[in-house]
Amino acid sequence: MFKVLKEVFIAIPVGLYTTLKNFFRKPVTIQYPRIKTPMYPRYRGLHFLERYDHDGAERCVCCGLCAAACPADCIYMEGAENEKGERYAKIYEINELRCIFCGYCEEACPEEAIFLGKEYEFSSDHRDKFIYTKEDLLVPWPRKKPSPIKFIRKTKRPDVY
Amino acid sequence: MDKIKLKIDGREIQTEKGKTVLEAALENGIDIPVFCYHPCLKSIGACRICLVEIASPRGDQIVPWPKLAVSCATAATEGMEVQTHSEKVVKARQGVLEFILANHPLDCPTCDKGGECPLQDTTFKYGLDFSRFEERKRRFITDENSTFDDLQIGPEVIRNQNRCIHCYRCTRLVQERFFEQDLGHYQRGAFTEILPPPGGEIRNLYSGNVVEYCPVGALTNRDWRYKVRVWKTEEIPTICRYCSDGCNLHVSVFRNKIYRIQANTNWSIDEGLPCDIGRYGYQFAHHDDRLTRPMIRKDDELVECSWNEALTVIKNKIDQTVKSLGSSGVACLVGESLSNEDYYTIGRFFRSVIGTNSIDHRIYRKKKLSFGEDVVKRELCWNKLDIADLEKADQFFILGSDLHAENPITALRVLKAKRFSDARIMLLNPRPTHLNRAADEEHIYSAYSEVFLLQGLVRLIVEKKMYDPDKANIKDDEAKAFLKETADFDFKTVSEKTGIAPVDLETIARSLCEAENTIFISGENVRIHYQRDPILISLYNLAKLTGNLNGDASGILMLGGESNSKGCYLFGMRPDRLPYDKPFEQAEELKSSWGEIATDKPGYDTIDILQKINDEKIECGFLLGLDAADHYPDSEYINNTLSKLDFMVVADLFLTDTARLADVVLPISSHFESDGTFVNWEGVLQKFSKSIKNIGESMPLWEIFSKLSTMFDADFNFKTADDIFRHFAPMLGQESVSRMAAIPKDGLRSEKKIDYPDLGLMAVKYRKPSHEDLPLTALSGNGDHHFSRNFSTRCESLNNFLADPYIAINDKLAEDMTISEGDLIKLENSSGKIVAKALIWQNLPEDVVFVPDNFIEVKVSMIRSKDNDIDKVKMVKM
Repeated sequence: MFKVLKEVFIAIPVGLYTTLKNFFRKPVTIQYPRIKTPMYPRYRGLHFLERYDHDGAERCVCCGLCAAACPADCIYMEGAENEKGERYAKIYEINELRCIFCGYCEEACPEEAIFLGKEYEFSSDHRDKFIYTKEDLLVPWPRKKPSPIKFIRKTKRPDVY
Repeated sequence: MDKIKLKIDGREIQTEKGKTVLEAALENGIDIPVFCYHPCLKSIGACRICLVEIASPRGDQIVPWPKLAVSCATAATEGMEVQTHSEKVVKARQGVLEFILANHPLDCPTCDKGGECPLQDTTFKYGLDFSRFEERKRRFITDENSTFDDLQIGPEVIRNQNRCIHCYRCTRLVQERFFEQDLGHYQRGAFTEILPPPGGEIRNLYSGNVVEYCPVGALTNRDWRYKVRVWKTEEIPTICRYCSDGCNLHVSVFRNKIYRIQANTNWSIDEGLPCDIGRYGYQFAHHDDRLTRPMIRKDDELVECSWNEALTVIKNKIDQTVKSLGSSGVACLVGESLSNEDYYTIGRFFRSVIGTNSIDHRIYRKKKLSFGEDVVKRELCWNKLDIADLEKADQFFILGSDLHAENPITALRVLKAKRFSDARIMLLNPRPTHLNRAADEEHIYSAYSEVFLLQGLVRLIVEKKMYDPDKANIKDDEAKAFLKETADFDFKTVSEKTGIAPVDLETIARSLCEAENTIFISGENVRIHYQRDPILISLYNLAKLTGNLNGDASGILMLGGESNSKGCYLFGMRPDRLPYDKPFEQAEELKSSWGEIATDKPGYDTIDILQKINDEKIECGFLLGLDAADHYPDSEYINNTLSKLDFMVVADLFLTDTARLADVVLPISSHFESDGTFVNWEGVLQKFSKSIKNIGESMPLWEIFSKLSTMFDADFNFKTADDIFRHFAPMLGQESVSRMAAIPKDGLRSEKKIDYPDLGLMAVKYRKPSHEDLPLTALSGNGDHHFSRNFSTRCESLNNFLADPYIAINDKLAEDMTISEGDLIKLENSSGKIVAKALIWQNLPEDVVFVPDNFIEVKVSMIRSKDNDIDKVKMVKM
C-alpha cells in the first residue's frame, strides 16, 4: 500500500518535472529539409574537382594517385593529351556507392585537384546514377561562388615545380 | 677465368677478374643504385650515383681510398674492401641526388615514367624530402604553346629534355649496340640536348628501346603516352609472334586491353633489346578488322553464324568427301606462326580422325625441292648454334639475307660481336641491306647467281690450295676430281656471272680461310631460291673447306621464316613426318595415344595438293592461320585453284583475300589470347601466357579442333593448352618438363646437337632459270618496320614508320625514265601488274627492283608465276 502511494505522490511528479522542463526548452531537432544543420569544417561529403583560378583549366592531370590511394577502389580514370601537350583525364569516374569518404584521394592529390565537399544530399533511385563522371564532379566555370580552397599552386608551368 | 676475392659490406665475395665492383655487388644481390650503368653497355661513370667507399691492400695494411669511387667504373681487385651503404656513401648519394634534382622537374604526376622510374625510387630511398634549391629550373622551350616542352623526335619517341639527367644511355645504346647514327647529344654541360641529327628523326628498328632504357621520363613513348599508369597494369610474359628469333616480351594489360609491350630480358636470346616490330606489333589484337564470329557462305555471301552451325557444316562436308573420295580427298595447309599446341591438335585430327596425311606448311615454294631427303640431309636444317654463340665468332659470311629485317635480334648479336670482339662482317646480297652500316665488306652480286658465287669460291680455294688440309680433311685426289667436275666455274666466268670483281672474290676466299671461326648465315632469299639445295651444298663445302663445320662458334645457319617455322616442322606439319620429327616407321608410340593413324603412304605436299585440287582429287581444303592467296608465289594460280575446291575452310584472325573465297570462315584468337609454346630457330621451346580474353567468339585452333573431334566420336578432351602440352611433353625428351608450368624461364633448350656428317666435297650443277624476257628482276623482302602481311600493317605504330607501299629502283634507271621519287610506277609481266610509288635507292643494281611484300594493297604475288624460276618485270611510268 505504502509502495503504491509513494509511486503516485513522489515518482510521478518527479518524472513529470523532467517532461515539463523539456517541454519549454528549445527543441534539438530541426525541420530538415527546410532547415539544415551547419557542417563541421572537416566534414567529408561529395567530391568535386577544382580548376585553376586564372584560366579555368582543370587541375586534374590524371596521375592516378587518388585511385591508387583509394581503399575502396572506387575511382576510375583514363588519361589523354590535350592540344597544349598537357595530360588530362579523358574519363574520370567515382562510384559514390563504393566510396567510404575517407578522404585519402584528397590527401594523395599532388595537383590540388580533388576535394571532398560538404554536399551530402545525393541520393537517387538508381545505382547507375551514383557513378559520377568528370562533368558531374568539376566545379562549374565561371564559378558561381568563390572556391572554399586556399591553393598553394597557382599555375601549371613546369619551372615552378 | 681467374677468380678474385673481395669483401663487400663485410661479405666475402668471389668474382671473375676484370669485373667491376658494381657487377660483383649486383651479382651477389647487393643493391647499389644506378642510372647510367646498364649491363648491355660499356660503363662511363656519368651519373655518380653508384659511389662506394673502397679500401684496398697495400703491403700488409688495408688502406682506405682518399675519395669515394664510382663502382661501375672501378675494377674489382684482390682483397678489396667495399662499403656500399656507409654513412659517408649515403650522404654522398644524397648530394648527387640533390644536384640531379636541381634541374629535374618534379612533374612525376604527369610523367609516364612515374611508378617505374629509377630516379623516383632512388630519391625515395636516399633523397632529402625537401628541396634547398629555390632558383628556377632549367627549361628547354620547344614550343610556346606547349606547357611541358615535349618534342617528338621520332615516329614513336617523345623527348622532354627538362627531365634528362645526362646518363647517355640512349645515345650509347643507339651508337654502341645498334650501330645507328640517329640519336646524339648536342651542346655542353647542363644544356646538353638529346636530339636526332638536324632534319632527321630517330627511326631505327630498335628505337623503342631508348624509351625503356631511359632511367627518367626524358624519352617516352607516343603509343603509351598518358593512357594508363604503370602500377595499374598487369605484366604477362609472352613471346614475339613475328620473326624466328623468339624474343621474350612482357605485355602490359589493363582491363582486358593490351597497352604496351616491353622487354622481358632473356640473356641467352634477346638481351632485353627487342626490335620495334615486336614492341609495337601487338596492336593488331584489338584491330577493328578482327573476326569475332564464324561465317558461312549462304547464297554466295558470307554471313555470320554460330559455332555449332559452322562446325556441323564442316563435319557433314568432311563425311561427304570421305565417302566419295576417301580420306585423301581432305587436305590442310597451315601457317607458320601458330602455336605447337595448335599443330599437335591439327596433326592428330587430320591423321587419326580423318586419316589423311596431306598436311603442309611450305606454301612459299613454287616448285618441289628435294631438300630434306637429299645429300646434305636434314641436319642442315637444325641450326646447331645458339644465338649467344654468335658473340664468339670472328667472322660472319652473310649470304642472301636481309638479316636486319628478317632476324633483327640475330643481327644485333652479329653487331655485338663486331663491337666487342671486332668480328668481320661480310655481306653478300643481291640488293643492299641495312646491315651494311656495320659491314666490313659488302658485295652485291647479280640476282640469282648464288650458285656461281659459292661454287666459284669453293673452287678458288681448292685451286689455289688456300685451305688448311688438316682442318678441311680433304685428300688431293678428291680435290682434283672436284676441280675437274667444276671446270665451268673458273675464276673468270664466276666473276662475270656474279658481277663481283676478281680481286674481291680472292679477298673473300682469303679471309674465309684465314679467320678462325666463321659463321655462314643464309636467309630468306636462299630459303625461297629455286636452287636452294645446290646453294646449301656449296655453303656446306665452303664451311668444310675452311674448317668451320662443327665448331663451337662456327657453322651454317639457315634463318628466315616466321615465329614458329621450326615448331611447324617439329610438330609434323609435313606430309611425311609425325610430331617431333618422327618418320612413319616410328608411329607405334603415337598410335597408343592417338589410335589408328594412316601411315602406309605419305600425303601430298603443297604443290601436289594444289595439283590434286585441279584434278578434282581433293574436294575439302583447310587453310589454317594462313593467307594462301598472299603467301603463294602465284596469286592467279592459287585463286583459281582454291575456287575449284568444293568446300574450303579458312581459319584466320582477319577476313583475308583467301578467307573471302572460303565456304566457312572461323575466327581464331591470337597468341595473346591463349597459352601455348613456340620454338625459335635455335630450337628453344618457350611458352607464352594468355594475357587477354578471346576477342569476340574467337577461339584458338586447338580448341576448335578439340570441339570438332567430339563430333567425330574421337574426343580429344583438350580443355586447356596445358592438356595438350602434357600429351607431347614426353616427346621433348626432357623428363623434368611434363607440364607447361615446368618450362624454365629461359626456355627449354634441346640437349641433342647433331654434328654434320662428313660428306666430302660435292660439286653442284647450275641450272639456268626459266624466266620471261623482260629487263628487270623483282626482288621482295620486308619493308622497314614490317614483318608478315596481315599483322604488322594492322599496327598503327608500325605504320607510323612506313605506311605506304613502294617500289625501290636504281637512280640511273630513274633518271633514264625521268622518274622522280614519289611518282607512281607500274611493274608488269604476263602474270599481272602492281602499282606503287617509286623510291630511289642509289646502290641498288640497275636490273633489280625491290618491292616490300608486307602491304595488303600491293601484292608481290601478283607479278609472280609458278612456271618461272625468276620473276622478271618491265617498268612503266604512270
